[in-house]
Amino acid sequence: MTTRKDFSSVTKAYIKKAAFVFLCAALLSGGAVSCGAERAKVPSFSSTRFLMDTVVTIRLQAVEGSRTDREAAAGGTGETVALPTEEELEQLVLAAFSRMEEIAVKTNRHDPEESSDLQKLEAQAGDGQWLEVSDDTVAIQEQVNRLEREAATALPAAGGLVDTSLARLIDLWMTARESKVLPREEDIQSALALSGMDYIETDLAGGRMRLNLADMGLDYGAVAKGYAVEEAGRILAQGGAAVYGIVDAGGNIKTIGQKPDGSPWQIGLTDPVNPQELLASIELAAGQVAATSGDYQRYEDIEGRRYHHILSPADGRPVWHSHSVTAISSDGLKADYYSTLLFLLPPQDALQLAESIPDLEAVWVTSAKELFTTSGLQDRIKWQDKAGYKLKDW
Amino acid sequence: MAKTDRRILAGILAAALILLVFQYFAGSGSSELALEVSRPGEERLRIPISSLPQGEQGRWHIEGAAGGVYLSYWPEQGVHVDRADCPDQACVKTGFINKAGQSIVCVPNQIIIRLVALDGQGDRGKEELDGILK
Repeated sequence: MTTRKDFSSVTKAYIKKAAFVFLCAALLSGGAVSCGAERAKVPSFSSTRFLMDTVVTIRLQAVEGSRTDREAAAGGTGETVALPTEEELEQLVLAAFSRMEEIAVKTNRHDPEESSDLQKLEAQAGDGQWLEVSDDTVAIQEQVNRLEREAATALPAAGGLVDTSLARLIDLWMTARESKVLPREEDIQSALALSGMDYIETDLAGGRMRLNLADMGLDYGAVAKGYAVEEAGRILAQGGAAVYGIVDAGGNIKTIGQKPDGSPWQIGLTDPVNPQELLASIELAAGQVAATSGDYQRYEDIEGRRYHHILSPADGRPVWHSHSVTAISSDGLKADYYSTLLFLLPPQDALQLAESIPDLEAVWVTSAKELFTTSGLQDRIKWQDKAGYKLKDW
Repeated sequence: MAKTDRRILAGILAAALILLVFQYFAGSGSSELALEVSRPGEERLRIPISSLPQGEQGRWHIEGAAGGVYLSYWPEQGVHVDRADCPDQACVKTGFINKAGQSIVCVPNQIIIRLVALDGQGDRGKEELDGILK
């Protein structure tokens, strides 16, 4: 009996020592074998839908701290920070998606039932009649007008470049990309003749709009996703400090709140020359939106040249100054708008403009494969070491 | 220092070394993975796998033609379809995918889920990404 007891206590001592050795080793090696499975269950909900010609994912998570606070509260401190349940997160995400879908429907130019605001405006363009449209449809145009005035004041050459009235020209190039036959100059000119932001009339208070030129049409492609991402973010932010997450609409990404560990959001930037790879990662603050316009997103190579989807109203053709431009702002539509505008401008002018606009940072990948950013972003970007690119210092 | 103490110390150091070496090779051998979600004729979405909610920490719904599927990500095992709104449940039966190139296809929902390697991630790119700008 005594011998047995001794034996077992000796064994126990050895097991204890072995466990201790293992634990120390784990700590020394940087916690590679940290106690793994014991992660607290923190509610989260993610959802992916296909809308606005893109795949949109919204992820929303509860902040773990709010759980601790609640548990502390249960211990008698009295203060309660409610931990959102998975169902509550799901409801916020679904509401955000409904909002985005609502905007997608109103701004869709290819609705088979021809019942979107943009289609109806186009159908009665030039007949002088006002059309009642959704607040979103007017708000988008008014915000574009405001941004355009701000940009043109800072840099006259920026005036009128992001044009929401290019429906005819966009259609012409879409056909060209599909058939792989370049449009004729005269067709480009007649499509351009059916455009012009001066022909768009908005009445925000009355909730109505009209187009004052027959056969013209609106296309919100350059800004609608940015607006939708911003609206989704506004709904998700109702979760307050207890949630954090991201609205990822491909070329437009908005962050919601702060990550619980306090680290900045990290967003990968696609290498435009090799879109399967990453070129850099950018830090985003809470609530910021990053939007990219690139020549690799929608394009067709015709006669040895890349014909992409970002068109200049100056000559009615794609612009080849940059491979991609990413704009960052606290507002989704503003980021989306400027990613297009800065893409359309020669990089030097674009940089000058971006530096003079508040709440705007940007990253350029020029056609000459030069990489640079606005001064405010220099410490928030990490470039991958890539052959063929030149990092430009200003 | 007693003999046992020295042995324990040596053991700790040896074990730490082995774990460090293991960690080093495990880390450098595998590039970051991203999950690519697509539907025929539509743009693809890439999400860094490190940013997915892990294990039981939440459900991830992907809208599909027949309603959709629910995904989950278990760091040790990979990505898996838990539940699908379709009669054949072929995607659920596919089980876990965890290597670049593997995919789960849900025909009734018209969803393709594929793991791709995020190449071009240097040493400094190892940090976890929250999203990828297309």
